[in-house]
Amino acid sequence: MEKEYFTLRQIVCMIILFICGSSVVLGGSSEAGQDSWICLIMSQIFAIPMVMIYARIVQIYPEKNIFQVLEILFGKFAGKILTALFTWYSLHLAALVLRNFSEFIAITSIPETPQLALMIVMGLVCVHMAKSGIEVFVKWSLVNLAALLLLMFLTIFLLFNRIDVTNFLPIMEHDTKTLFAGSYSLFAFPFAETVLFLGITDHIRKEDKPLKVFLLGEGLGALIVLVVMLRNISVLGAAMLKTENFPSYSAARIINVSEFLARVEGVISTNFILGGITKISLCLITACKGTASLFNIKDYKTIVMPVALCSIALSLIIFSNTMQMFNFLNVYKIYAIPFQILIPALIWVWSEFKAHFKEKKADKPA
Amino acid sequence: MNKKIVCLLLSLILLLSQTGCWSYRGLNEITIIAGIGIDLDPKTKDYLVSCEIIDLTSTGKESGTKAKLVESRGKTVMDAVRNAKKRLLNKLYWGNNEVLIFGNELAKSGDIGNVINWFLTDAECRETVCLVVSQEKTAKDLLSIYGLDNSVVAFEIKKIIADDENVVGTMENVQLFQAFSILNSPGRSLALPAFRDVKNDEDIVAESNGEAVFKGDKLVGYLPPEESKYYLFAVDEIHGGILTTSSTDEDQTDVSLEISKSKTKNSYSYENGQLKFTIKIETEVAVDEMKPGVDLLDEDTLEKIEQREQKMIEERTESVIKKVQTQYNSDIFGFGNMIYKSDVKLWQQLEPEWDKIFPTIQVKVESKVNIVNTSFLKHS
Repeated sequence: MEKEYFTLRQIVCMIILFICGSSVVLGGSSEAGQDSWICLIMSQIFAIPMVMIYARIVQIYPEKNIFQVLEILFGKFAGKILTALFTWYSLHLAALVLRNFSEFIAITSIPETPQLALMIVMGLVCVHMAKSGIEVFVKWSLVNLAALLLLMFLTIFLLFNRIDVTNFLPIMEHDTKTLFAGSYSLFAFPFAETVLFLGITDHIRKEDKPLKVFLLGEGLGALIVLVVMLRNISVLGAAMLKTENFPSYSAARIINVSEFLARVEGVISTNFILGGITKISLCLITACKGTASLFNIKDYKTIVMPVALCSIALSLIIFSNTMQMFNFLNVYKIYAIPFQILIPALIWVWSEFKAHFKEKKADKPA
Repeated sequence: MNKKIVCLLLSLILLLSQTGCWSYRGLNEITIIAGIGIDLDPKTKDYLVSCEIIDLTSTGKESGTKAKLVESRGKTVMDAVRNAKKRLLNKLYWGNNEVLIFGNELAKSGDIGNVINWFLTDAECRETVCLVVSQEKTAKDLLSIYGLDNSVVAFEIKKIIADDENVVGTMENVQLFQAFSILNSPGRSLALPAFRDVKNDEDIVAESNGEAVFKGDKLVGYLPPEESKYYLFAVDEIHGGILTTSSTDEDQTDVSLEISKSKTKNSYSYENGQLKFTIKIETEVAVDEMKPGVDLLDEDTLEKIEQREQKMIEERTESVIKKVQTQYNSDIFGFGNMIYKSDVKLWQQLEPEWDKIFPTIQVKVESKVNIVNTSFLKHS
C-alpha cells in the first residue's frame, strides 16, 4: 500500500479546524471577562514556543510519527510506556470532545434524546472518517474550513448592529495573575492540543517545512478564535460572557434582522458539528496509531472500531453531569501538562542531545 | 448474491425505524406562548404566572390570530410554569414568547433577578424577549385585555416598545440579556418600559407610560413619559419623537419639532472629591407644526426656536436627573459605569460609597438643536 501524504495547505487547514473545533462553541476561557481577548493573545506566548518544539521534533525525525520516534529514542520498554500514555491522552481527548458535543446538543436542541444515541451517531461518522484514510480526512478539512469561516463571518455580519465597543472597557481591569491563569487555560485548551498532530506526522513530506506548517496553522487558528471572542464580548458583554455555558450560541440567538432573519443559532451548532468531527477523528486516528504501535499491528485502520467504542464508552463515564464537564477545564490544564509539555519536551531535548552526540561521533574517526 | 439480498432487506428494516424525528413536536402538540406576566402573591409568596397563549382552535384566515390566557401558580417560576400543564392539553412552548411582564408587586419585592435568571437558563426562552413593568395592580391586568390592532396584546406591546424609540421617544427597549448585563455590571441601574391600561373608545387597551426605575432588582418608582424622554436624551437612546415649544415668548405651545437624529456625549471630571458630569446633546430636528403666519425661512425666527428648545432640553434633562438622584437614588444613567469603564482605580475608590456620592453629582447639560428642514412649507 502506498503511503498517503498531506499537502502543505491541507495540514494547515486541518490544524486551524482542529483548534477552532470545540473552542468556537465553548468560547474558551472567560474568567477574565472583557479582558479574555488579551488572555488569548498572551496565550500565544506559551503556545508558539511549544508548537515550535513540536515542529522541531518533526524536523529531526521526518516522516515518522511520535510513536515511532518514542521507540527510536527510548527503546522498546520505555518507549512503549510513553506510547501508552500518549495513546491514553488522545483516547481521553476524543471522549472529552464527544461528551462536549453531546452535552451541547442535549442542552440546546434535543433534551429528550439519550446522549448515548448522539455519541454513537457522531462516533460512527468519525470511525468512517478515520477508516477512509488520511487523504479523505484532509479533503474534508479543506471543505469544512471554508464552511466554518463562511458561517462565522455570517454571524458577525448579522450581529453588526449589536456590537457595542464599550463592552471592551475597562481594558486590563484584571490583575496579571488572572490574565495569566486565563491565558494558560487557553494554551491548554485548545492550542497545545495540537500535540496530537504528532501522531500523524508520518504523513508530512520531508520537503514541507514543519515549522512553517505548525506556526501558520496555529497562528491562523488563534486568529479565528480571537475574532470569535471579540464578537462574543462586544455583543454579550462581560457579565453575560462569564455566566454563559455556550457564549457563541447565545450570541447567535440574539441575531434578529428586522424579524426576517432570526433564529439562526443552528449555524453555531453546524460549526460545532463540523469542527467536532474533525477533532474527534484526529484524536481517534492518533489513538489508533498509538494502539497499533503498542501491539505491533501493521495497519491502524483495522482497530479503529474497537478504539472508537472504547472512547464512546469512556465519554459516557467520565462525567456524571454537565457541571463537572465545565469544571474539568480547570483540572484539564494541569492534567494535560505531561502530554502537552513534558513528553514532547523530553523527546525534543533527548533527540537534540542524541543528534549532537552523533555528530561528534561522526567527527571523531576522521 | 445472497449477501446482497440480506443487506437490502436489513437496510429496509432499518429504514422503517427512520420514519420520524426523535422528540418531534407538531403544532397540535404545543401551546405557543405570546407573552407572559409574572406576579407575586403578597400573602403566600407564590409566583403567579399568566401566559397569553395563541388560540389555535379559533384562529382562522378571516378571524386572525386569537389569544387566551392561562394562569398558574407555584413556589418558583419554573414550578408555576410546569403547573400550568395541569389545566392545559399541551406543554407550553416558549420559543415565540415576545414579552415578559413584571407585576408591580413582584418588581417592588425585588425578585426580578430571579425571573431573569430563569429565562436565561431555560433553553427554549430567547434572550431577546422584551421586558415590561405593569403599572396596573398585576401583570395579568395587562395581558387579560385585547390589543387594539392585534388581538394578541403581547405582540402589540412588543411592537409598541420596538417602534417607540423611533416614533415617540419615551422608552428604552431593554431585552432580557441586556437587562441581565445591566443588573450585573457595576455602577448601572435598570430602567424598564412601563405599561398601563387606558380606556380607548369603548375598550380597555394597553398604553406605554414612561419608564420604571429600579435600584438593584427592586422597583423604586416611575418616570412619566414627559420625563422619560429626557432620560433617553441623557443615555443617548433617542432616535425620534416630538419636541414642543412656543414660537413667541409667550407661554403658549405652538411649535412641534420632530427629532430626526440625536447624539449624546457624556464626560466627567473629578476634582476635590466632587464629581461633575457634562452631558452634551446634539439634536437634529425638522419643523413639523407651526402657528400660521410665520416665515420659516427667516433665520432669526428659527434661531429663536432653536434656542428656546435648547434651553428646554437642558432644563428638563437636568430636572429629571435631579429627580432620579434625590427621589430614587438609582444610577439609571450609568454614571458609575462610565467611571468604571474609563478609570477603574477611581471607581474602586468610589464604589463602596456610590449610593452617597450619586445624589451629590453635579450634572450640566449642554444642548444644541439644529433645525434641518421645515418639511413642505416655506410659510406657515
